[in-house]
Amino acid sequence: MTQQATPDRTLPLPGDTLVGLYRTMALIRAFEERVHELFTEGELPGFLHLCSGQEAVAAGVIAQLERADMITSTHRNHGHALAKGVDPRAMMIELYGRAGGSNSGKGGSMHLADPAVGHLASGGIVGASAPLALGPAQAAKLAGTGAVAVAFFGDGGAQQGTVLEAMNLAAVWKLPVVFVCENNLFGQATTVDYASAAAPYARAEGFGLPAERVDGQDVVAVYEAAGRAVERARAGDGPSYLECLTYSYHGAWEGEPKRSYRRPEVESDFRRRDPLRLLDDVLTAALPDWLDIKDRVDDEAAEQVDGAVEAGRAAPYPDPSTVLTGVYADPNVVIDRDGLAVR
Amino acid sequence: MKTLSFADAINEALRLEMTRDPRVLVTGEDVSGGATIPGFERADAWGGVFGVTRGLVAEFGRDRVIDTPISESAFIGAAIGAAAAGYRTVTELQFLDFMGVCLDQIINQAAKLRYARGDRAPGVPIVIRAMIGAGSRAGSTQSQSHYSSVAHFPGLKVVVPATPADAKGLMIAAIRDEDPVLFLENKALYETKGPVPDGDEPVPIGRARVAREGGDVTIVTIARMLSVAEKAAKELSERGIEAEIIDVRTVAPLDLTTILESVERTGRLVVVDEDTPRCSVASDIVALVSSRAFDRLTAAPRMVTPPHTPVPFAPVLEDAYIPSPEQVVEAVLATAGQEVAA
Ligand SMILES: Cc1ncc(C[n+]2csc(CCOP(=O)(O)OP(=O)(O)O)c2C)c(N)n1
Ligand SMILES: [Mg+2]
Repeated sequence: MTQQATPDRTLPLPGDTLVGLYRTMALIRAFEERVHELFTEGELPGFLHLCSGQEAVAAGVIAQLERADMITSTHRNHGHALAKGVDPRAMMIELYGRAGGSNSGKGGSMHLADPAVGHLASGGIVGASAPLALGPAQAAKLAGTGAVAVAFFGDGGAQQGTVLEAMNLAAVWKLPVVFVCENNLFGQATTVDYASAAAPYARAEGFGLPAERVDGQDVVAVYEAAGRAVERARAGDGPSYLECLTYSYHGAWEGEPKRSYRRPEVESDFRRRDPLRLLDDVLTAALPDWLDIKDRVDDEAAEQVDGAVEAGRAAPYPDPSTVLTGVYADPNVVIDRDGLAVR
Repeated sequence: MKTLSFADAINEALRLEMTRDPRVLVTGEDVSGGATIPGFERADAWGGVFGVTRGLVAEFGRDRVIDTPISESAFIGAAIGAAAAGYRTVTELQFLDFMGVCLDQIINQAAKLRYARGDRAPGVPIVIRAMIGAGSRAGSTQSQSHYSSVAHFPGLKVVVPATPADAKGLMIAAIRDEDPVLFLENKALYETKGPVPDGDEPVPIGRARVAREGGDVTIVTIARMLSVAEKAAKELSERGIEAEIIDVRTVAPLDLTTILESVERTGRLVVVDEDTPRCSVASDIVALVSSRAFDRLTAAPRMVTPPHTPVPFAPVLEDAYIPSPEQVVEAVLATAGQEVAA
């Protein structure tokens, strides 16, 4: 009976926005949990870094972006890719190492990206996402399109010199870029408290960037803070920095040797404040028909992931000769197996 | 003699040298792991991502086994500088692919400090450990074997052990060496076991090893390609061709003498390399042998390498990428003007 509150009085954001955020997070969770299962059963190959537990960061930040806004991402990129609209089927086919996936079998988990939907690059080099994001931001500024760029990186990545240089250059050139540090407390088995002499966001302030730290479990808080940063960028007021405190349920990577360095009480604190559950609580209290909507959204996410897995299983293996394709984009350059120009 | 895995052989070398010399330090990302977490004062969280440095922190403490932030330029630079104060740091870059973020410290600082400061200047006794090798489905930026790109720089020593015994002996030599040594570990070798001598005898850097004797063809191998060539040699032997296999063990400085001595007897050369073929150690060996033993060669030398592309992810593509024993057999037969019989 207390659940009859009127939506506009109790909802922190419009109902559609909240449901949209939930939908994105549900898809990411369903995708990652399925990938975890498939890897554990030995069906999926690869070097996989899952983002279960961190969904609010990808969903909250990317919900503030348009298709033309570019993101750059990391080794832990599945959530960013899904939120930005990379096709889950194409992603899953890629993870299966089959033909027709998002990266032609050349990239795998760590390189998922699709520039056509505004996802410039992911990759296995920690810290590389930050300099790369300056490019689309520079282009947007030169062309006056009002587009922005977002660089995702981790608390470990925040210690990389490339990230610090990128922040400075972004400030010097006053670029429309948002640096998003996903602080999941660890870079591998090293805590951020050990590795980062100051909080990552505090360091950004030294470069003159407006910087905020938010609760990365709370998608509404992430969404609102990202909104402020994106708005500044679109208005021509330069770069900002957003640090989101969150947690990786599946640790550093699939098959990680030991997790004894992770304190169970910290993990259970984060799990108690699971991003999907927090938003579910908000919506349960505020939207009378939320339970029905939620069932439908959860089912859709499961169906999308089922479809992606079906597609992955059904896709043919790539032709081994395709290892030679795609080294250069230039259609006039053909190389042979030895890297020699073919005339 | 005892039997150790490749990873444990490196671990033993580190332990022996740290015991012998209190100035030997180990640094890198999660070489122990768990720094400042209660309960991990003298315990590893990981001991390196593949456990190669496991147990060192329990024995030597966190003053000597030091976890670092993901700041490779800074901690490799620190290792170079610490050498001037008498320390010998074995620092870990995890994957050689990551050298891009700290290349200046490696190729301009470590490699050139001794030379540029003049002949009386001290050396830069550091060891940079890094993994190489494809096959782990890790994609294009954690699978490369691009030692040619460091071997190119004068002043760096680059070792590429292929057996547990050499891993131990070369690590001991690398730590005692007065110059910067890149110690490259093919991750596919970590679990392979082999006989390892007791004691702390170094294996000299810059000396190749004849891994198999034979008079018909010389097969030169780098790192893990030794086992590929050994499989090929077995098949060739069944066809009546006895291959001599030379494991280079060090790519800089290269022991060309051992290779030439063999080629003078066999007249034929095949180089098997997991690095890409252009501007590579393999192409260098072929060029050197061709120019210095031209009149002893009875056939054009051949290289067996991956295609000149980045390492692909998809298992079907990656498996086709890595040199196979079949390709080695084919190359050897080609030097004899033969084809693989159907
Ligand atoms: C330049 C570079 N150094 C080291 C690594 C190895 N590595 C892969 S993931 C990782 C930890 C990254 O931590 P963080 O940035 O916090 O991201 P998280 O994995 O926690 O999402 C490290 C050290 C790498 N990939 N690239
Ligand atoms: Mg982290």
